Amino acid sequence: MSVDEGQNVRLDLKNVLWRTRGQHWDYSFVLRPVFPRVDSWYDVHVKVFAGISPDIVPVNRGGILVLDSEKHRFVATAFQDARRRDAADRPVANYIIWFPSIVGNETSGLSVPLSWGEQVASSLGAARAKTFNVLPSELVDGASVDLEGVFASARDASKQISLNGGLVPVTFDDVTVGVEKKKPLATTSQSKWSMLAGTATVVLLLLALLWYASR
Amino acid sequence: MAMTEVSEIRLALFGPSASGKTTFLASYFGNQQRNSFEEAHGYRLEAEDVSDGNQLLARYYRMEEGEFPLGTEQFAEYRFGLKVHGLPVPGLRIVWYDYPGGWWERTPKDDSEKLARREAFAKLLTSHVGVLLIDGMRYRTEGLPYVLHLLDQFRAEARRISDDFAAANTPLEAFPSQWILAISKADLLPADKTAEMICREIVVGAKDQLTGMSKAVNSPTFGHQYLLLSSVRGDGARVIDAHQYVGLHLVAPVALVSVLSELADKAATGAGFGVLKVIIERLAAVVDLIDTLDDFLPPKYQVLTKLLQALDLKAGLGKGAEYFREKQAAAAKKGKSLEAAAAAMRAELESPAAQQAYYRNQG
Repeated sequence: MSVDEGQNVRLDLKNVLWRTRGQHWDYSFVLRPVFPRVDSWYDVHVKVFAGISPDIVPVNRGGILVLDSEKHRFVATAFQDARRRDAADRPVANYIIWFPSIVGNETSGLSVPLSWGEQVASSLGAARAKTFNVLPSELVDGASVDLEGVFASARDASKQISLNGGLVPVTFDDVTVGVEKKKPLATTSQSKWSMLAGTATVVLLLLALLWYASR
Repeated sequence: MAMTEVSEIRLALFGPSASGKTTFLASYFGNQQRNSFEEAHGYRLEAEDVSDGNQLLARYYRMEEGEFPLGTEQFAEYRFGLKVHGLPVPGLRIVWYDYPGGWWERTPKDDSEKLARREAFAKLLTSHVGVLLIDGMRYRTEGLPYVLHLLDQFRAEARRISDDFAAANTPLEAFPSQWILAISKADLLPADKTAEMICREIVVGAKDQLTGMSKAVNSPTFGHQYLLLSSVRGDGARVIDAHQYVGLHLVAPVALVSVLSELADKAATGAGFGVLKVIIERLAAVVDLIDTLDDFLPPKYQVLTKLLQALDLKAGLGKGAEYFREKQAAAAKKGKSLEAAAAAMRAELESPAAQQAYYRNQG
């Protein structure tokens, strides 16, 4: 996290978890953080937002995510979308968690605009507009719309946003969530062969050296 | 009566997104904990978990201001004690489950959400009675094709759940044997529409789907019971009056009658069909089987034995709701919470509104 020349807080979209719904599709994760890596984001989501009912005015809370021995501070927000309603004309809620990488005192707080979550959602507005009205049948695996892919592409294009507005302090002692870290990615077939090839090369070299030494 | 001895009935709402599950639960608790409800009915509901109760009340208060609640996006178990006026302990515990309707429409991608979904469905399956919500607004506008699609979708999901548990080598509790098809948003239906009329439309028009569902959930009586439900008076988009409802307070007593009706069927008497008044009269004639209830009831239903016996169907036939309210008050004065709760249930079953709102088909 950094502060730009206008003293605005800059937010890295790679560290954002966002859960919301469409007009027809039910609540789903549309964006997952690149860092930290967690298998069980739903467990985190449930614990972070326990007891919160999103309203028009955003509710913010700060906390610590404990991954094995690693601690990651986060700031979370929940709010109702100002415009969008679902197919039953109910308000649409947004649940966003940001993991800022803060340099400095572990216990120091962070100040963000109250509307920081709305600004994140707005920065990815094109992705939101593209996916909001799709039908659940279009989101089934192998079908036409890759929901998370659309948002991830938009995130990768935007990278960072500058947060505007009056700052409100957030402390990180509202909630502590402990989950297991994401398991290392399983080795793909291609990398397995690479490893074998590398090992074979080393063995051959050793054999060649032994043969040379024995001459 | 110690808390651990309180009869408990577990009810599960089944329905896709926006069918009315969350609104029902907020209204169910919100309306039945009000002082005016307690004065009229002689009992109230109390949430066992204070934070759950506060959450439901927060939704209910927004409904009073015209807003339908947000869609649910997490599984929740709500435990309510039915407390008869004047008694410090509940005579009956009613347990409801709520969950995202989207879990019926799409398998989540997140592994922990998939697990939460499987655990939620396992919990739903421990319920005594399943209540499948048929969206009354869609039934009014789309008619039978909507119901056919709903039943086909539900059957596919029921079978997928069974397969999912089998693939995970996880033991699967049997689906509830009792099912009520509840027509939600019934306030949007024509005023003269009764549960019996809707029953006849669906039994004839969706015969194949009902047979398929019956097999999928292993319940020979699936599609026999219909209940009109309205959580609020609304116009589809806004709540007009959160205090006007239909059938909310009937669900628990109807569920109990449902269990007894099945017992009557098992005893080969085939007595328990018709409107409520008629069902109770017919069941009263075969009530001797109640003494040997445990011989007929599957294990998970045996927790209801004492309450079913306390319903005392032979007593007070044709006497009306007021008679049972007086019995309720008399039992409460003596500190008999089970008998008081049973009398409260009988009072609800005898009400004129109940006769129009519920119907059980002979099959």
